[in-house]
Amino acid sequence: MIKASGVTKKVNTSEGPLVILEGIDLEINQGESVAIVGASGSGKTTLLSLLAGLDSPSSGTITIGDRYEITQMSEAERAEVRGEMIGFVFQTFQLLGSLTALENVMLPSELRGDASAAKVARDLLGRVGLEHRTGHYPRQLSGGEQQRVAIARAFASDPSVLFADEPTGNLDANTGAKVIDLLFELNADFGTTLVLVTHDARLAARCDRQLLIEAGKHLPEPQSPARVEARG
Amino acid sequence: MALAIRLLLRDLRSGELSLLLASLVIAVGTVTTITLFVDRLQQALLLESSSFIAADKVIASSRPVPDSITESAERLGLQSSQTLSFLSMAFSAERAQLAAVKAVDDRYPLRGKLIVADAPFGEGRVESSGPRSGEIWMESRLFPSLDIALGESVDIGALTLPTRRVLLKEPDRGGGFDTVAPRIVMNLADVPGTEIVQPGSRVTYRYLFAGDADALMAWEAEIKQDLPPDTRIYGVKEGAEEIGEALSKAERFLLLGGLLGVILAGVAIALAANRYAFRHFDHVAILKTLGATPARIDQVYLSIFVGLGVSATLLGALLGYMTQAGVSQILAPLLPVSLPQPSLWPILLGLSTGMVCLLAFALPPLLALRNIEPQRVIRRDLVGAEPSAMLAYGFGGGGTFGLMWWYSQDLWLTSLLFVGSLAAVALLGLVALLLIRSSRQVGLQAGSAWRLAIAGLRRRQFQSALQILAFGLALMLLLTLYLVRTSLLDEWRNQIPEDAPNHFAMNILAEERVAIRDFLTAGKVPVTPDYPMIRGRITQHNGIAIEAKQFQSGEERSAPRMSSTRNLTAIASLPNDNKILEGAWFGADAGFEVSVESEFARSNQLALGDELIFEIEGRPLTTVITSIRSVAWDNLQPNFYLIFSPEVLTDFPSTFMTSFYLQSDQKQLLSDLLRKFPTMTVLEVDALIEQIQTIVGQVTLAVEFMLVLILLSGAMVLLASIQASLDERMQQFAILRTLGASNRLVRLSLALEFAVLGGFAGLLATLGAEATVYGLEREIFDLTYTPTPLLWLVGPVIGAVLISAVGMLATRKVLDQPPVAVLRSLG
Repeated sequence: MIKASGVTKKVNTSEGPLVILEGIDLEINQGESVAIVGASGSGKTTLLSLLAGLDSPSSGTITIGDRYEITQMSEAERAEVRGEMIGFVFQTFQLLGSLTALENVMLPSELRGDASAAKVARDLLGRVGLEHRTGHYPRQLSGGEQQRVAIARAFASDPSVLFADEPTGNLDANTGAKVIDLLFELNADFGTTLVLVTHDARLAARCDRQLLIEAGKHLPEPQSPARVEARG
Repeated sequence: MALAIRLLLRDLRSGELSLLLASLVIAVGTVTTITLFVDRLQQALLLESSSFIAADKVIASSRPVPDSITESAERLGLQSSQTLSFLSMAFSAERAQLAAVKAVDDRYPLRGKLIVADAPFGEGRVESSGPRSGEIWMESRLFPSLDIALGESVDIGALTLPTRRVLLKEPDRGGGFDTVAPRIVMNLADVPGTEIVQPGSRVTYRYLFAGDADALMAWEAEIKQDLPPDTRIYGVKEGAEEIGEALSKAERFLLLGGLLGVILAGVAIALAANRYAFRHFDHVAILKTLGATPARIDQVYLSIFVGLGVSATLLGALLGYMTQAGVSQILAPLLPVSLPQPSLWPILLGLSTGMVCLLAFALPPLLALRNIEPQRVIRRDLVGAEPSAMLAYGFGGGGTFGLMWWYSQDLWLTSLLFVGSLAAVALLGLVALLLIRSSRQVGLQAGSAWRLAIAGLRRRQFQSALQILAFGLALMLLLTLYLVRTSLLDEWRNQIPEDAPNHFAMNILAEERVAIRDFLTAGKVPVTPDYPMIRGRITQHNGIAIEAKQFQSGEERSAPRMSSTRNLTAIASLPNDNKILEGAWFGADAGFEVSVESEFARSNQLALGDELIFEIEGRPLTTVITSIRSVAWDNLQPNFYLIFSPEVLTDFPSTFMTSFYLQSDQKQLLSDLLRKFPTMTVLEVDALIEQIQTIVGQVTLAVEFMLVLILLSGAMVLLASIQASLDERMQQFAILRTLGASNRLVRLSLALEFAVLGGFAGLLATLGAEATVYGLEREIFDLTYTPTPLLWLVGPVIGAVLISAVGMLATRKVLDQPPVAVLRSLG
C-alpha cells in the first residue's frame, strides 16, 4: 500500500544542512494500522508529512497504493492523490473556523464535485454522535467534539489511507480514549490503512505495528511488548 | 463554485471581509461621488461661465467668415448668433462721444443675459434678447456724456435711432480694456442703414456658437481648415481670462483630490486584502491537504474576488450616486445655478476604479495563496513561497499609475504625484525604521506601560515601520490636500479683495488729472495713482517688418498677435501680480526699454535684447526688450502686454488711467463725474466682480466637499492598517492579561503604542506634505509656496491623537473580552 525507499530529508539552516530523516525504508500493507513512535524531534512528524505527500523528500521514493509514486509528482498531482485516497486527522483539529461542522465535513466531497456531499456528511456526523451539532461552528464545540468532526471529515472522502498526527495530543485522557475508539471503529468499518504519529503508548499499542524513529533513522523492528501484545 | 460562494458568504457574515468590502465600497463611492459631482458642477460652471463670452465658442474675425462654418454648426445642431462691433461717433443735439457699437442679431446672447434699466444707473432687470430693429440701448454713462434722457434719439452714421433701454450689463463685455469706449447696442439689421461699415472699415465680426460639448468638438474639428488665417476661435477659458484661471485651478484641485482618493483607497484595499489573505493561510493549507490543487485554490479565491468585486463595485457606485444626489439637493439652495443632470461616464469611471483597484491591490496577495504549503497544517510557521514581491508591487504600482493617468488625463500631474509618492515611501520607510530603533532609549527609562509599548513596537520593528508608513502616507495625502486647498482659497480670496477697485477711469486728459482726483477724493472715494495710456502697434521686430511675418494657419490662433494695435503704458514700478521671469525691471536710468508679457513673448518668438519698433500717433519709437514678465490676468486690474520704461512716453500725447472703488450707493457720483468730465471714460466692473465671486464661491464649495470625502477615505486607510496588526497585538495582550497584567496597564500601553506610531507617522506626514505641497504649488497650481512651521507641531499631535483614538476604538471590543476568548478566536 505504502512503500518508502531510501527516503532522506535535509533542510538548510543557518548552521549548515540538517539531516532530519536519513535512508528510511518501509512498507505498510493495505488495511494495516501503524504507529510511528519516537522522541520529540526524532523526525516522526516529518516522516508522516512525506508519506502523505504534504512534503517532498530530498532523496528517495515513496509510492502510495502501488500506483502513485508521489515523489515524482508535482504539488497539483499530489493534491489530487490526497483528494482521492488520503484522509487526515490532526492534533490541532484543523477545522475551518468559518464553516459549520456540517460544512467542514462536506469539504472533501465538495472538492471532488460529489453531489451527495451533504448527505454523506450528515451520515458521518451521525456516526460520530454529533448529529445535533451540525450547524455549530468549531469555536462553539469542545476539543473532543472538534476532533470528532475532524474524524468524520477524514472519512468523508472514503480514503484508502488515513494519516493521523497526534490525534489525542490536545485532549484529556478520557476524551482521547473515546476519540481513539471512534477512530479505530470507523477505520475497521471503512477498511482504511491507518498511519499515525503518537507519543501515547496506549494508542500505539492498539496499532498492528510500531515504527520507531530515532534521530532521523528507522530502528529495525523494535520488539516492543506492545507489538507482541497486539499480535497476541 | 458553491464552495467559493459559501466561503464568501460565510466570510461576509463573520466580518472577515468587512474591511475589504468597506474599503472597496468607499473607494468606488468616493471616486463616483467626486466625479459625478464635479461633472455636474463643471457643466454648471461652464454654462455659467459661458455667459462671459455669451456662447460656448466664438469665432472673431475682421472679415465675414465663409458660410460653410455656420452651415456646419446648424447641421450639427448647434445654436449660432452673430455680432458686429465697431467704433463710431454718437451725436446728440449738443454733444458727440466716441462709442463702441455692437450690433446683434435676434438670437443674441446664446449664453448669459442682458441686464437693462429704465433710467441711467437705475435698478436692473433681465432681457432675454437685444434691441429690436429701429432702436438702440446705451450704457448709463453715455446719457450724461451726450446730455440726453432715455427716449431721446442719437445719430449713428446716417441713421437716427431712439434710445429704448439703459444697458447695465452685457454678458460678453468681459473685463478687457480694449473696448474702453461706452457701449451702444443696436440690431444687426440696422447696420446697413448707418452706412458706417464699408469695405476696409475696422470692424470685428463675432460668430457665437453654443450647444452640446461633443457636437462643438466635432464642429471645431470640421471647420478648422476653413477658417481664414486671421480669425481667432476661443472658448470660455481663453475668452474669459478673469475666471479661466480660477476654473482650471479648481479643476486641477478636484482632480488632485480624486487622485489622492484613488491612492488612499488603493492602500486601504491592499492592507485589507493582505490581512484577508493572511488569515486564510490555514484555510488554504487545509483545503490543500483535503485535495485542493493550486488551480482549485485559484478558482475558489478568484470566484470570491470577482463576487466581492462586483458586489462592492455596484454598491459603491450606488452609494456614490446617492451621496452626490443628496449633496446636490442639500447644496441646491446655496448654488446660484441649477445643476444639470450628471452624465453616465462618472459612474463608469467609478465602476472601473473599483475593479482596477481590486485587481491591482487585492489580486496579488490572493493569488499568492496558491503557494501556501499544505504542510502548514502540521507546522504553522510554514508560509510557503512568498507572494512574488515584483508581481505585487508591479501590479499595485502599475494599477495606481494607470488609474491616476486615466482619471486625470494628465501625464505630468500623474508622474509628479506618482514619483513623489514613491520617493516619499522609500525615504519615509527608512526614517520610520530609524525612529523605531531610536525609541529604545526612551523605552528603557520609562515606566511599565511605556516599556511595554516601546517593546511592542521594537519587537515588530519592520511591521511597525510599515504601519507608520501607511499612517504617514494617509496623513500626508490629507495634509497635502488641506494645504493646497487653503492656498487656493486664499489666492481666490486675494484675487479680488473686498475693496479692490471696481471702476476704471480712462481717457483722462493730462490737464484734468488733478481735477478728477480732487473730485473723487472729495466724494470719499479711494483712488489709485494714475499712469499714461496710449494706443500703438509694433511695426518691426529685429529689423523685420511685422506684415512680412506670416501667421501659421491653424496654429496659435488664440494667442495674442504682435500686429494688433494695443494699449501701451509706461510705469516706474512693477505692477502688482506681475512677476519678472527673465531680465530685470527698469532701473533708475532706464533708456528706451520695454517689458513684454511672457505669453505674448512666447507666441511671437520675442526674446530679451530684441529690438521692437512701435508706431504711436504716426511716429516711430525704437525700444529694446529688457524683461519678460508673467501677468495675473484674473486679477481684474488693467494689465498690459507691453509696458515701457517711465520716460518713453513723455513726448507722446497720452491720456491717463486710474481706478477707484465705488460702493453701490455711490453710483450717483459716477453720473456727476461723467457730466463734469465728458471726455473721460469709466469702465464699471462691479457687476463682473460679483459674478466672479459667485463662481469662485461655487468652486470653493466643491473643493470643501471633496476634502470631506477624502478624509473619509483616509480614515478607512487608518482603520485598515490598525486592523492589519490587530491579531498579533491581541494575542500579546491576551497573554499579558493571563499573566495578571491589569486591564488599565494593557489599555495604557496599547494607547501609548498607537500614540507613538501616530506621532511618528504625523512627523513623516508633515515632512512629506511640505515637500509635496512645495512641488504641487510650484509646478501644477502656479501658487506661491509658503512654509507652514506650525504644522511640524500640529502634524505629530494630530497623528498621535487620531491613531490612538481610532486604534482604541477598533480594539475596544476585543479588550473587553476575557483573554481566553481572544486566544481561542485567534486559533
